[in-house]
Amino acid sequence: MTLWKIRLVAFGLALVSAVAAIGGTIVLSVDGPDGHKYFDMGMLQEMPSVTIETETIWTDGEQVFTGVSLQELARHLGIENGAFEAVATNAYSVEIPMTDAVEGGALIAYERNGLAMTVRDKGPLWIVYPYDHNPRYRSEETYSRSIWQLEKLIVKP
Amino acid sequence: MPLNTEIRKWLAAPVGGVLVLLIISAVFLGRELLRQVDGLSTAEADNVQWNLSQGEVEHLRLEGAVNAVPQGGSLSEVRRRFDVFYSRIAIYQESHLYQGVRQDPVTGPLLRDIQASMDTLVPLIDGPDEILHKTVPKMQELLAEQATDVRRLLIAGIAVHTQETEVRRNALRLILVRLGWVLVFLVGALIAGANVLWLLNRRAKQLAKESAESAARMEAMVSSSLDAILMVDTEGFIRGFNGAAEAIFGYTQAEAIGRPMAELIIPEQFRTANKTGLPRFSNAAARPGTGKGRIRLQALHKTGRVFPVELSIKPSTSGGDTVFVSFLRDITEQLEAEEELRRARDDALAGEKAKANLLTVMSHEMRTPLNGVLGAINLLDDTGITKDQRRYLDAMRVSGDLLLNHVNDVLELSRLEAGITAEEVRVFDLAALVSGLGESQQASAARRGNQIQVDISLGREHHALGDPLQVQRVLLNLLGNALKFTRGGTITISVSRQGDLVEFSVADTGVGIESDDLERIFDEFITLDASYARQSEGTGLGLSISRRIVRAMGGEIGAESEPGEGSLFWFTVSLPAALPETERSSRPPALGDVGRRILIVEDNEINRLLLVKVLEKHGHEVTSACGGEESVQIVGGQRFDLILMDISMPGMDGIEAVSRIRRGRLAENTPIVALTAHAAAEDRQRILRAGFAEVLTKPVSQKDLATAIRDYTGTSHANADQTAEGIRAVFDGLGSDRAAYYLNRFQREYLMLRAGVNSGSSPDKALRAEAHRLAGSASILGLKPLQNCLAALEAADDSPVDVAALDAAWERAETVITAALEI
Repeated sequence: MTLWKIRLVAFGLALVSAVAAIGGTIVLSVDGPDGHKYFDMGMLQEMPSVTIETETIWTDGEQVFTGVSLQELARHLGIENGAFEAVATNAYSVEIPMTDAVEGGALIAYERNGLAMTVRDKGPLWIVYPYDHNPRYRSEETYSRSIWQLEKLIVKP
Repeated sequence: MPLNTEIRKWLAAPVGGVLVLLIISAVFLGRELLRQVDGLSTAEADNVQWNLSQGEVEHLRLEGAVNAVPQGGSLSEVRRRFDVFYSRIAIYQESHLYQGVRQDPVTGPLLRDIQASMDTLVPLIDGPDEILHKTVPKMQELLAEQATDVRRLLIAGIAVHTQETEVRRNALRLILVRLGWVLVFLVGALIAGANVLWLLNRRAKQLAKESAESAARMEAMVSSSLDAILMVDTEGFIRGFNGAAEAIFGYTQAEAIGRPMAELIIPEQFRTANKTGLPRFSNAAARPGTGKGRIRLQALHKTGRVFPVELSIKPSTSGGDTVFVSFLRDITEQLEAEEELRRARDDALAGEKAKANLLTVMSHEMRTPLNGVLGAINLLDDTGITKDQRRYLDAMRVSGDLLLNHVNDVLELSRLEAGITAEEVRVFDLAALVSGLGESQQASAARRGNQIQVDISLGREHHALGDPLQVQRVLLNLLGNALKFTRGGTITISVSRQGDLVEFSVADTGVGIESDDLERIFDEFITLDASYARQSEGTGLGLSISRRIVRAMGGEIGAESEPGEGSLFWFTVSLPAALPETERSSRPPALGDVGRRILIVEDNEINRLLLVKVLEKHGHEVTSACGGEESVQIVGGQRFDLILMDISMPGMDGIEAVSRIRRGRLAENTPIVALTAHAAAEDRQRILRAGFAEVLTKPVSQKDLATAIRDYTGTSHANADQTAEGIRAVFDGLGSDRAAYYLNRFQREYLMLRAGVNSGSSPDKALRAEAHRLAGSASILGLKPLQNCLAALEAADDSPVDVAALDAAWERAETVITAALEI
């Protein structure tokens, strides 16, 4: 009982401590080996950002995406191996290997054409790739990894 | 199957073209295929079906969230589900993957409807909770209705997409099929190419083999050639030297190759010529035609012996490298053989000539005594002999005449052989000549039971311009032959005219001639077979002489015959029709005017005696001398009107005697006429040059004598009269206009000739040729002294011209011409 309580308290503390650092709405939660991490838009925007210009098969015309590279995020989380399982609002999930978390690789975009993205507009987070710059990314596999309305990343060993 | 070059060329272009086309097609199709496969791998398509079905799922979730609101479900969940569904619809609207869906007549409107109804919900969703709460029932209704549309969109969308995929698949399939065909063709072409290569390779091997064989053969040919074969490069160094060359020049192959040719085998005196000559020579050799030529040169043996070679040389160029290939042969022996042959030929010719000369000399040596015999017979006739004696005398005369004929035949032949034809062209009565001839031979024909018929088809043109004596001679010859070989038959003499050409024929019904013999009857000394010989009498020269005469007149002669049926001999000569000489007086032959002082110089006693008797009989005052020396003495002391002098006399001959007389001015203005049996042209000219006025050939007829006496002893008037007769004949023959023109031209031409004659020097060739021509004209005009002077001029090739005699002759001729032109 006590143990359960202590555990509960510990969890609560941890949760509080984790959430306590967040000022705004959580847009991304990461389930890592060291527990959960949460990010609001501000935290993401504070991290070094990357902007890519590319067309996508879901949109019409050239798009400008700005966000945190998956590489940057992995570094931030101290993850070097394994893979992410990305989960979307509509419960769609897909596994993204760490090989995509490279320079010029996957990007967790939070801005499209200079504007924040709403859920209705596939936001607030959308994993995109520089499809136009690397033909390797114009594959069905990559398209399946280009998950929109991203809510959660689960780190897998 | 060896491919020949022609076929290979013919194949190369299309095969190459097809290959290139195939490769281009393959590359093009390959790229297209890559693009298509790339399209597949880059999944332009994403997962369209999944996306479409996801739309329905998300619609259901939205519906579920809305339906959950009355049971306490949260509105924020409704908003989330709405946004998710809305973003899905937005993708359908935006993405080019759904262009087909948007444009499809079924799915397009469906999509637009769904979008429109969603758009109507946006303000409610984005609005405050209370209002959204209130709209839930309405939303439930709308979504329930819309569920069917979404379902239809899904199904129809998938169909549209499947169709698109099908189209793309078909395109891909088509490309694959095409690529397949291209590959099939390409492989086929490669196999064909490999085959061709294999054939070419086989052919090349065969050629190489043949080439090796032919090289070996060539090597064998070169080494076994009997001719020396030398190959020399453009620098003059020997590059090839075969076995025969070793034998001919004495050097071994090893010694010769690489050495300069000039040093080795060309005699020293020719070396520089060869050095400069080689390029020129090679150029000449390269020209077509000259390359075939064989050249004779001198060559040098190793021992220093120079020997003649015959060689041919040809440049041979391969790959820009020129060598001169030369075939040489030692022709020392050949040249010796040629020289020997030439000597033999010259000897034979000289022998032939000596024989001919002997014959000629013999003939006229025979003629002089024969003349004496015949003359004596005539004189004997007048001396009152008995009947028996007269019979014997006649026999002697017949035999003598026959012998004289033979001798004359031989002399005539040698005369003709030397090319002299004393043409006496004048207007004569051709019809009378032919009929007279027939007439004269009637008696002799009758003796053999033959008849002579004369057939003259000349129309009214009885007269012709030509040499009647020659025509008569030929005709007589043919007639004589016909009579000889016919017994109890008919001989027909025909003459017909075709323009200027007159054809004569003599046809007989005699023994005829075998066709083999027809070929050679015109050759010399031909008397055919034994039976002929028995029947015939003669030298066999008759037809040969006839042919020569006819040819000299520019005519043709021929014969046709049928053995046992008879022969036909014909000849054609050009005898232009002319007007008859109406005024021509037919003087009876007389020995000219009487009482002339005449000196006879003749070594042969009988001939001298005969001449003296004959001339005395006609009232001339005759003195005689028996040799040249005596004549000179006599002339020195006495004056004569005419001197008749024999040429060949022992001691001082006629020519020497005349030279002395002329040099010593012993008989100024006395014409000296030569009597000679020498009938050849050169003799005649030699005699005229010596200072004789005229040459009479022995035996001299009484008529010739009379003419000579008249011509050379008459007064100047008589002279003019005589020569005018020739001119009159020309006027009669040509008509006065043309005759006058002819005379004027003759005058002009003579004066031009005279201008070129210098007394001091001998005339040149052109002048002599012109003199010959004018001499002919003078002869036609009857200007005898001028003709003689011109003939002397023609013959004077290295002696000065007797200008005084020429001028004197012209003066006389001019008087006659002027007189004729004035008439």
